[in-house]
Amino acid sequence: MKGAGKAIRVYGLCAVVLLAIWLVRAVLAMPVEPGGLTGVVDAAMPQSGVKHPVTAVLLNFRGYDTWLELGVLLLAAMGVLLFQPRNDLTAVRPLPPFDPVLTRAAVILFPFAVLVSGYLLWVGKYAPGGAFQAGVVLGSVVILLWLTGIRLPAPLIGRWFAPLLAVGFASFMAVAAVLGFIGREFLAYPPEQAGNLILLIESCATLSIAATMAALIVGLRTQAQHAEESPHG
Amino acid sequence: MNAALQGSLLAPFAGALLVLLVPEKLKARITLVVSLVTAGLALGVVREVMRDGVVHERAGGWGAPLGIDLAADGLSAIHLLMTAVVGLLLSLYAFYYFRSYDDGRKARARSLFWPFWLMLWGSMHALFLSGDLFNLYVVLELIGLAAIGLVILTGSREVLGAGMRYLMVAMAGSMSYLLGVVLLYGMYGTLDLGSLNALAEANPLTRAACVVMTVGLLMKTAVFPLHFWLPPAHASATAPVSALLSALVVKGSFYILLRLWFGVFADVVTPAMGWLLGAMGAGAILWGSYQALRQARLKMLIAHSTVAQLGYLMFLFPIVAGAMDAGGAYQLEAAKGTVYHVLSHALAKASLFLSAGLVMTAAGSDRLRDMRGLAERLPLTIFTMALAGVSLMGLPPSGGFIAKWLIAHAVLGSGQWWWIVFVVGGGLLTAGYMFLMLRSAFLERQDGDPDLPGRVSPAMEYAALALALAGVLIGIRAAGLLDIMMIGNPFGFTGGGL
Repeated sequence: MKGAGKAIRVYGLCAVVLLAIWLVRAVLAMPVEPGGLTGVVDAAMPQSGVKHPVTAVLLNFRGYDTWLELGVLLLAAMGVLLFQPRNDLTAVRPLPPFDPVLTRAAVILFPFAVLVSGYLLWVGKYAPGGAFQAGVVLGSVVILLWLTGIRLPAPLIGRWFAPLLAVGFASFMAVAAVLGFIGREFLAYPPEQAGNLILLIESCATLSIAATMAALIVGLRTQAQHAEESPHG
Repeated sequence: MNAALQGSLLAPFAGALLVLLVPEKLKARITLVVSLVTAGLALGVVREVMRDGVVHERAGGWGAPLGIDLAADGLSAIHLLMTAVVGLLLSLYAFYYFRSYDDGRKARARSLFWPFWLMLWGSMHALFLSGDLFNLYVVLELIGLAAIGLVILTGSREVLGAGMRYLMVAMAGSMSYLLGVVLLYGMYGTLDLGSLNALAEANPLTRAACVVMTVGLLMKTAVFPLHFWLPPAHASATAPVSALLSALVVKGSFYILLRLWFGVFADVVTPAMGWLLGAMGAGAILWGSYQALRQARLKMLIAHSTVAQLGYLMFLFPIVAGAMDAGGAYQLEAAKGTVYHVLSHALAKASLFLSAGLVMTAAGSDRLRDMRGLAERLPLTIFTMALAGVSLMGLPPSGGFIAKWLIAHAVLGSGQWWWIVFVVGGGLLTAGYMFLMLRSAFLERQDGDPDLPGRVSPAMEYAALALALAGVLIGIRAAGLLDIMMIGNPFGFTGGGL
């Protein structure tokens, strides 16, 4: 058995090395000065409603992709909900507070993290930032609060939790439905409204991304706890 | 601006959010309504394709290469049609199937089945309408995660193991596909399928992209010997989910493979690559059928039959890559037959898995020997299974017959006659395991047999029967469907003399 395992490792390693060499050779054949779409993006920036090209690509030029990616996040969160008794995190028991200094620090940190999150969301219009960064900061501080033993507000992890998970995906869809209703192409923002629509969608997406992150960490953590506890009944 | 196309993307996803959020007792009914609307909108797209030819929509209004182009041609239309028929009947079946799932863990499974299923349906629409390589990657992830969520619904140890394996394979397949997307974008500077079809040349980089993307998609399609994850996942899931996975999900990645081999990679593929895929198909038929013949459990038998039937989809590739005749007449014929096989297998296999769910309800187990006496107890279901079997075996006048006849004709005409051994032999093997499947149902019940406890809802039997009937009917109305499939010339050649 041991010999077989070693042989598999050796062959596997050889295969990976050969694959790497072959791919490197292929990549070397790539044009040195890539055309890419940088020029096309720059030319369309004035109609995008924002001033940062990454935000313009994610939320406007390829907003359709981002919509579906928020759907991927929602599916991941739904996978977590499958192992909760309801579509929320109310069954998650809070951890016992174990370090008063840490708890206090988390409480002091919380408003600043919300502020940073809001700033990141806003600055995405001009510079690197936007919903994903803002949502991660917000989600992290929620997880930090939970880890230090602070009970999260009941409505947020209860009645409003599933709507929070869904609101990012839903906001894109609502915008698409309204635009379709007035006869525009799918998710084609009017240039003069693009900035506002992007801000609306990004605000909603920030909430969903934060809630999804919290669900993935907090929701699965309880599973591990239940698994540990189950032998004792 | 195309209302039906926009609606067919929005309706299932909006429905998914709605059923996620509404109270428990409304979920099933709302899913039925959303299913009707979704299927109706998909048929609307199909009708527009039939009336106006290829339907275009520019997501974001930008147009390629900056934005993402959506398009529906004949190939998309056929797949939308397939999804609508299977989806609608499946929702009807699930409406009754999940009624008994009313406590604890099972109630969770039922509660989340509805949103997962509608998310999957929306993702299938997004797939068939997409015209962009990276967008297809996002859609693959959507389909993969929705499918895995559906597999692990009941949360038992068995499904979690199968789901984990499925997740690993799905991730590996997606990453492999994404690597190819990166290579193609680096080379040609666009992700738009239409532009890439025109730009692509035969060079080492494009060939590398072709290999990694093909391997990734074959993993997701569960083509032998990359099929190992399929039987446990498809057999351990609940009956409606098994039907969805075998009928629709594995066809999604195959659809992308078709688009790529007839588009971007048309000049890159070599006869050796085609041969390799053909050999994998032959292996799938032999191995899948052999395994199906050995199974003692109904759902494992049907799942291995899926492994075998997916093998038929592979003979197209040696014919395409072989390019032995001018004008592509046989390539076109093989492509038609292959897509027809996708269609007829989807209907027949969905019907079989739904019937298996009825058998399990009635007999209390899915062991073949526990099916004794079922022909008397569930005559309609056993008839349905036989009817689905007719299409899988490829007997006239079923859809399976048209598919296999077209494939066989193309194989012979293109000079690669040896594949015919597997096309015909596979049909005989299918007859073998279909006979095994039904045999015990016709045996007399014996004294020691346990009671047949469960009652089944007639609506569920009718849903399964309707799918099996559709599988036969598409054989009778084949010409019309083949005409729809060819709208917009999705395979890139006109067909020469045929």
